[in-house]
Amino acid sequence: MSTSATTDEKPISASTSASAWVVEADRAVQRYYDTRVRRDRTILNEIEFRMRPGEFCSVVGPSGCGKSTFLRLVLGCERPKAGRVRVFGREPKAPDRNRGIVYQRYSLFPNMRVLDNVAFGLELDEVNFLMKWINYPSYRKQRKIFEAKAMHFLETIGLAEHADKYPHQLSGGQQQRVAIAQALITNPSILLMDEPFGALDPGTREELQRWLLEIQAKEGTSIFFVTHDLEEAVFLSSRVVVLSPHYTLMDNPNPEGAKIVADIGIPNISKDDWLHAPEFRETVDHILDTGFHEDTKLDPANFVRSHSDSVPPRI
Amino acid sequence: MFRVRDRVPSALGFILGVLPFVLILVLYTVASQRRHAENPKDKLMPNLAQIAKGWDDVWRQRVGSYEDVVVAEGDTAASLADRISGDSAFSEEIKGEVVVGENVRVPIMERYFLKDTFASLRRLGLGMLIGVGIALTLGLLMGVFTPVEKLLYPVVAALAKIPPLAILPIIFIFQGIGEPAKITIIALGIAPTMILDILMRAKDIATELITKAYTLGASTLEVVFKVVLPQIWPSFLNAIRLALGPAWVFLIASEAIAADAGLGYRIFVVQRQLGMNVILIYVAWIMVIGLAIDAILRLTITRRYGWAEVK
Repeated sequence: MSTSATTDEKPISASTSASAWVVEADRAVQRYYDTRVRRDRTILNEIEFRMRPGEFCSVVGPSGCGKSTFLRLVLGCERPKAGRVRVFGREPKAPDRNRGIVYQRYSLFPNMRVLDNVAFGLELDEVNFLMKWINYPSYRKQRKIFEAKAMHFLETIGLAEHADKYPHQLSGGQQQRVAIAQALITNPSILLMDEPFGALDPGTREELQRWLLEIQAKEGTSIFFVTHDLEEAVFLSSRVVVLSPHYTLMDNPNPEGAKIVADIGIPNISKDDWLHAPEFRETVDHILDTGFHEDTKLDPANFVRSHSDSVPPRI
Repeated sequence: MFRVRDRVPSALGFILGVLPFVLILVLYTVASQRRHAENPKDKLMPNLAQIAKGWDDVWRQRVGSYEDVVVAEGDTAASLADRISGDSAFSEEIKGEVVVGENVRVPIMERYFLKDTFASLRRLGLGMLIGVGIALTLGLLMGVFTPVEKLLYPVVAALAKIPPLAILPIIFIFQGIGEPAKITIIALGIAPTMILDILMRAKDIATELITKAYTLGASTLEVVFKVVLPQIWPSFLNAIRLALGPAWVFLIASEAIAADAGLGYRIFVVQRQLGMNVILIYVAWIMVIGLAIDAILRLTITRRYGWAEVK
């Protein structure tokens, strides 16, 4: 499935030098000016985070706490008002091919067939913009190569028979699978996912979850996965990060903005075993306790940090 | 059948659709016959014979206009008519003897119907082409680049509020009353509204898709031409379809005011002689042309761009 001919940043296997972290957040702050109350509202309050390549990291938290904002900072759509966010040592200035994205809706370009959707990234990479008009035979030759690669990809994910269909003719689950294939075909350093299975029915959701795990195992893709479904997060990930506005600071009992109140490592055992282990349930309940109850007020020294990469508290 | 959204059997649906046409035809025929019973020479509601004559008038060659010609050695009335119309059958239009060296007014024979049709369609086509070109360019740029939108939106929105026929005199002043002016009024008339429409469609594209294109490696140019433009194309074709209505109005109006050929021109010319028969023919013909173009556009949209839900 790794098909792109150009060299994008490939996941560097793990040393802990700073630039080897695929994602780093260094006291990242995000604020928006709220016109209704005529002042700034802080959404993310000094997020500290670092993630190694190859991890499947989920971000969970109460609704509106800033999970999607955090994702947008990593994606590069927004810049933090203070602090830094880095991907492989570089601050994202704008969305580019190093960070792939899969959204919950608007997953595919509606005006192109499935095959063209998947091949889209390949053509952007290799084909000069005007080649189609200047040298049509050469363009067609290139096109055939891309379509073959895209077709091969579709075959490996079992959707080859839908190659000529338009997105609106596919079911939600099929669309999301194509969207994931579309994002992965350009070999991004990291795949960002914003509640990708949220709009699917439970059966399809389970299917796609397992399928995503297979792909991740095969390709070793780093995945940054935002979801509001705790069981999904605990099942899929190797690491669950809880973003929550419910915490307390020494000099401020009611701070504004979310922090990472829990950073939980998930044992590296087979997913079927994990699903049925008692610790699964315990972990889910633990997450609920730490992030989701308004009256649970941890202070940063007591944030849960059970993953090896969790950033230690500042003094 | 009269609960909201209740369905109707297709045969009945068809009959219902045909009914108004039949009704109009019947009512007209009755009214026309009544008037002709009172006054056999009535011209306001022409009967079939009068309409047939009107068709004959515009289709067969009749005198269109005149040209001044100097009579040369050996010219006869017949040969003069020949020279100009190429059809000596109508040389009887020229009366009397001709004298060598004399200036003679010689009739130019033409088929009004075709001449008017081509004149009007040419103006409409060119006007639409230019107007649509301007609209697509500006609408796309504004819809894609926020600075351009901020710059141009207020002025375009304001200009769109001006009834185009009100600026027709301005166009006549600058361009005269010939062909360019008629093409300009159509182009400038349809452009502002179309710009605003295209602008909105471009902005309606989900930001997720734009971001996604960038993450797949697209440059801004590629986002515009490979993501935005293809997605607004069906609405763009639909906007053309909708702009044809006003375009015809501007065309007919400008031809009525200052032209020497064209469907609108002819209608207003024969109006002075109460030539209802010709008017009805021309109006019906304009309707047919309009329906044809509309159908072509509509079918193109639904066949080739089925993925878009364009109404």
